[in-house]
Amino acid sequence: MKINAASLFRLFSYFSFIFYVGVFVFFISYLFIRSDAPFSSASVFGESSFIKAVFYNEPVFEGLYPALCGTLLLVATSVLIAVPFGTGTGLWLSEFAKGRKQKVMTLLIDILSGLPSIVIGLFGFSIILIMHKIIPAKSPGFSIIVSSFSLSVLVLPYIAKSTQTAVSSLDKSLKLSGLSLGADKIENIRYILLPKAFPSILSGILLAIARCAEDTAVIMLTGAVANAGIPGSIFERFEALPFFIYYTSSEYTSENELEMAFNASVLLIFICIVLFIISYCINSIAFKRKKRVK
Amino acid sequence: MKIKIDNLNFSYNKFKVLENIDLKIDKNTITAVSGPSGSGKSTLLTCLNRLWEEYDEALINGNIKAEIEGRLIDIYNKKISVSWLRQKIGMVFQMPNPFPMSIEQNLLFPFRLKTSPFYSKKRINKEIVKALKKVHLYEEVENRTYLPADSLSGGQQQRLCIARALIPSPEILLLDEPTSSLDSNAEKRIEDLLKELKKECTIIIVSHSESQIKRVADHHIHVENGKITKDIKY
Repeated sequence: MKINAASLFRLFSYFSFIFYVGVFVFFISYLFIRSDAPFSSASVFGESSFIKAVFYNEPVFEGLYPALCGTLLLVATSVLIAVPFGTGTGLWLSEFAKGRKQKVMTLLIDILSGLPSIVIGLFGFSIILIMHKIIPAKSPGFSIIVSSFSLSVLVLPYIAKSTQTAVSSLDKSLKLSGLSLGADKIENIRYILLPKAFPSILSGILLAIARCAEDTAVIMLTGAVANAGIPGSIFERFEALPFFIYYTSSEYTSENELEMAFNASVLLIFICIVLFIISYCINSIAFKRKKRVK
Repeated sequence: MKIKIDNLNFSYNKFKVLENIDLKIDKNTITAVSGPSGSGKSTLLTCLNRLWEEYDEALINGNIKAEIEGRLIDIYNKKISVSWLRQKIGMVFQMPNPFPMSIEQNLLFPFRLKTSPFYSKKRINKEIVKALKKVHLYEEVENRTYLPADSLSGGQQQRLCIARALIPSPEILLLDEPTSSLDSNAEKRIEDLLKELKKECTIIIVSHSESQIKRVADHHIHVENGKITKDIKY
């Protein structure tokens, strides 16, 4: 067989792929082997039972349930803050900002998306200190709401960028056809641009959700603690899976404790997989338009 | 006379696109605009419905008057609502561009705008059927209007876009190379449709095809380097 640059490159690409799949399979298998997945009730609900923990709010000790609840609440609150502001920023950049203003704002968004999460965590921590000085009695302190706000600052650039790219890349004549029928800019965005760009915007939102679910640096400076239990409201301290993994694996005293960290990792991966499946389903529904009319 | 353009000049990014355009267009005629790419044909259309205002760094001066609802109006008069003007001067683009919604929703779109008059559901349905019948699409989609509009063929999509532009009852219809992406059968159907539509609309169509111009046009203008070099009425 003649060896040339093209065949060498093909071989290299093939081995890169095999290497990636190998690392992925090894990593996932290792996590599964070290965890006790599929989980026993004890590893999720500790000494409590599913019904008592979920329906009667019985405190759960030595189980992942509080961290799971904390993570889900944290992600939901962060996304609730980040999605409107992120899509709003993206729409402003693509549809309203012009010239230098647009270039400067795009650069700022790019810089913000590259900021290390520990810096955003410090920003959240500073907010707590400032609030405490201004309104000591009513300051939210270390809590889900401050963590969520900081996380939303972290993920806002992803949503803004994906919205800007999705809307800017739409066909110019599609953008103009709504306006040519008499629609104003807001009607054009609401009825035409947003629905058309929705699948791409959704990928940005999912990336943001995954980032909110996995980030540790921000939450450890703004409200996540070990053994906080299930949060009663967004103004309380909380447990979260990434912090649980960090805390347990760095301070474990027995193999059982380390196994809990692996359990939490598997659960976090499972949450991410479920989110990606949901996004895939939404995308499939949005693109399911191939039936021909005869 | 339906449209009167006096000394129209248009520049984009300091580049002159149209220069000293003077033009008169008669009522219920088809005016074909031809010319090489970049000569300013499409820009001329966007000057008529003020769609160029959506571009940055564009500059216009000159006079454009159009007879709408029996009155000769200056379309650049500040008192004129742009939304109303664009409903009265409809536009169809080169590529069929149905909205990301069903066939029915596409046709309902003009009714959803806040500037559109209030109609009863029965009246809206009647108007939709009327528009579909005008473009000869009614029989083809009668029981399938719930399907996504982009599931239609290219020719059907373009006819849907024409039907959508006809919903607000425009008096002038601008078409920017509406058949350039279609096969000869679909092209023929659209040409026949335009001949029927000129009874109720004044039509201005941009076309590269000499044979198409001969088949449909009552008035032919040729634009080169932003200037009208030929103005013939058949």
